[in-house]
Amino acid sequence: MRSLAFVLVMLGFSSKAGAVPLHVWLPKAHPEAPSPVSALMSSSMVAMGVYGIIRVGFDLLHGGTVWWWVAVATLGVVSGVYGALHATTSTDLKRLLAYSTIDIMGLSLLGVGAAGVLDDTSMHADASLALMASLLLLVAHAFFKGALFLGAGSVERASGTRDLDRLGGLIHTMPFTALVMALSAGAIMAVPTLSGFSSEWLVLQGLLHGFVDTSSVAVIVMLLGVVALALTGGLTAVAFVKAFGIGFLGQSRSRGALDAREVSTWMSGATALLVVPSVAIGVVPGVVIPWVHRATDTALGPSGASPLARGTGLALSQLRGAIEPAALLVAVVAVMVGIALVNRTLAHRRARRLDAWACGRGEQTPRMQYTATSFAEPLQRVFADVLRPQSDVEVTHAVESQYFQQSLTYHNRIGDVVELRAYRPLISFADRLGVSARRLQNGSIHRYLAFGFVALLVVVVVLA
Amino acid sequence: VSTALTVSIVTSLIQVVVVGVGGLILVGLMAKIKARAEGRVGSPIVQPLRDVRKLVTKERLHAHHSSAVLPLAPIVLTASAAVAIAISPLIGTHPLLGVTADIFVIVYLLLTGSVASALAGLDTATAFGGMGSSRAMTIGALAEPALLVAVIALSIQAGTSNLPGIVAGTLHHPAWAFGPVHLFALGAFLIVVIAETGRIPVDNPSTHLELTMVHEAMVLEYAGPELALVTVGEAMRLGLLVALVASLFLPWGVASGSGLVGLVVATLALALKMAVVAGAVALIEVRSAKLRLFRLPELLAGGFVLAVLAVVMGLVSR
Repeated sequence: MRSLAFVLVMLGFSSKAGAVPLHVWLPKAHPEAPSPVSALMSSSMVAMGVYGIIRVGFDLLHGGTVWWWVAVATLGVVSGVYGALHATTSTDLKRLLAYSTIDIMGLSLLGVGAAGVLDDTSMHADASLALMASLLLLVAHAFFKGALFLGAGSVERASGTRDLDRLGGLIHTMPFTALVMALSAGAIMAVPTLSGFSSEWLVLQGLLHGFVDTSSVAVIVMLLGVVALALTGGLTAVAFVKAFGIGFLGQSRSRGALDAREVSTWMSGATALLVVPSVAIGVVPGVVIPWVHRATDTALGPSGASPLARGTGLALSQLRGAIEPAALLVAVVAVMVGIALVNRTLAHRRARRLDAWACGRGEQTPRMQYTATSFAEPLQRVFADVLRPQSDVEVTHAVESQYFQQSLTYHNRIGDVVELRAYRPLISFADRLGVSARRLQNGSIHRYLAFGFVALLVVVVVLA
Repeated sequence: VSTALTVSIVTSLIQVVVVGVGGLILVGLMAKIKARAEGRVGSPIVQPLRDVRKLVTKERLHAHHSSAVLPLAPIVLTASAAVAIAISPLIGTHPLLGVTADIFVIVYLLLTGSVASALAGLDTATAFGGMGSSRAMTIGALAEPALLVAVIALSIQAGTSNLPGIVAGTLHHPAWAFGPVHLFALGAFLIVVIAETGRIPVDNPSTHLELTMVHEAMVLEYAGPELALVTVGEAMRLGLLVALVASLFLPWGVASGSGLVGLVVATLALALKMAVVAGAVALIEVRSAKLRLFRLPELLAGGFVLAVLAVVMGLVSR
């Protein structure tokens, strides 16, 4: 009975968290809301789903059995990879962000699942570490995803579109928004010393510790988790290089993008308000650890000493690993400044502006650039089995000769496989059932009375 | 304490110089080996150094429509590689900031460099730049899982993800280096090194044919001192990956003490090991043809499978 309750609660909350296969609402709902609302939905409301699973699983049902948490981790693994894959191929900026939310929620559920498995194999310190990792990721995500959605809102307001294929060149007209988006995209790509890196590093450590001496079930979960984390890492980098590189760099691909102007101080200020804590969590993650540890203690029961040593960075007490992002940041910035100074003394003159190389053809037009669709095309081909893209090319030939083309149109559409293959058949089945049930209802009062009489008879017979 | 700090600083400085300059010489050495194997004389081994010296004196040129990303990207590329080299245990197990020399830090520092280059490719607003960025990111996204899982296999065996810890562990248990974990991980690592540094069969570093270019297309708009910096940064990444293979899989010679003699010996050993690994990569280049772009996922998936096997081996032999 407890297991049934947990499975139902887990499914319910996983739909709130946008975990595959109950995710189909999320990439439709989050992009359509006004951006501040999207920011709120994606950064904190979905986290309630993970919170619910933690609260019910650990607090109310006291951990349960291992397979519960294997199920949670599996949901996490599938959601992580599926979300990351769809984020790489999305061309709508906010849809891309929504899919990446599914990805991060997946990784967070993976951490929760790993914590549950470790807790049930009585490795309490490691369970606490995995849960802390999951919570730190949620906290970091709340800030950087909030900033990303607000930035996307600024882009939409300034240019009138959020279709990456119609954006470009915004770094010249909206430098502040570009900076904010670059910092937040860097965080989600896990660039070292930004918040995504610190929290994903901790998730990896939580999984690595699970390998040390646990049951074979736990090891399989950890192995799947590590593979998922590795796959999503690369895919997320592609998705956000695309989002920033196509959206903000290059030449503007539409009138709206060309005429975009920086948004008001209030809008940029609100976005900056989210970026500052996001950067801070990355550089000095140790500062938020005591709060995260208190939360895990509430869920798992007091574990005594924190698995992480006190300090500005993250250092595992058993000395199996440590990162000191602040020191790393100082080192990288120092080297960058050094290189820039050498660069300046070597070439003191200002750079001369020239046309880019176009094979001697002359001017480059915005249409000659890569778009978001073409940028992701190689990966779309590689993962065609999962994504099931529908693309077709229509060529209209000139009347005079087959060898000359008058026009060429290319359509590319990637639907959600889960929606197309699972939900649509289910819906059409329910639809058919409804249609056939309608035959019972023909408007004749006598027939309805007969139904009532037969039903009464059946009840009487069954109860007798 | 101060002597330990001095040793750390000296270790890191030697590493940056040896791997940085060594990376450029490796490029020349690999070109030379290829040329000789093909029956040509080839350019001198120090040719890349001369190229860099020449480029530095040239004028700075930026494409229209490019932004601050274009000059900033080579700086990020080189700085991330330099810091990764400085904190890795390449000649000694106590480099500067060795505490934070986590193997994932190194992997993600390299990723940061790739991201910077890819953004620079898109910044030029040309078809070439976008093509190079798109292809390079695709290859990177598929190579990254293999690299991550391979280093995870090594960290599980060593019981730590701290890079100096892993190298010290292998020095302590020489049998590990010949065990299945290391062999499978080495296979994955070599595939990643070839993919990340753009060598045949993944990318041809000496091509200038539009349709086959990956990395060269991405950096096509660079000229003068910035091209010199891109060249140095890329050479540093090559040097770092080759040196990491040398330190992780053939750690002998890496100094664990604080003696000066040990560091000198370790430097020579590192140079020798890097030359051997680079020679092996060059021979692979000579013996294989460039793969079609859409055949690459098979190769990289092969690397990924090798890495997963390395993890499984580590768990079985636990």
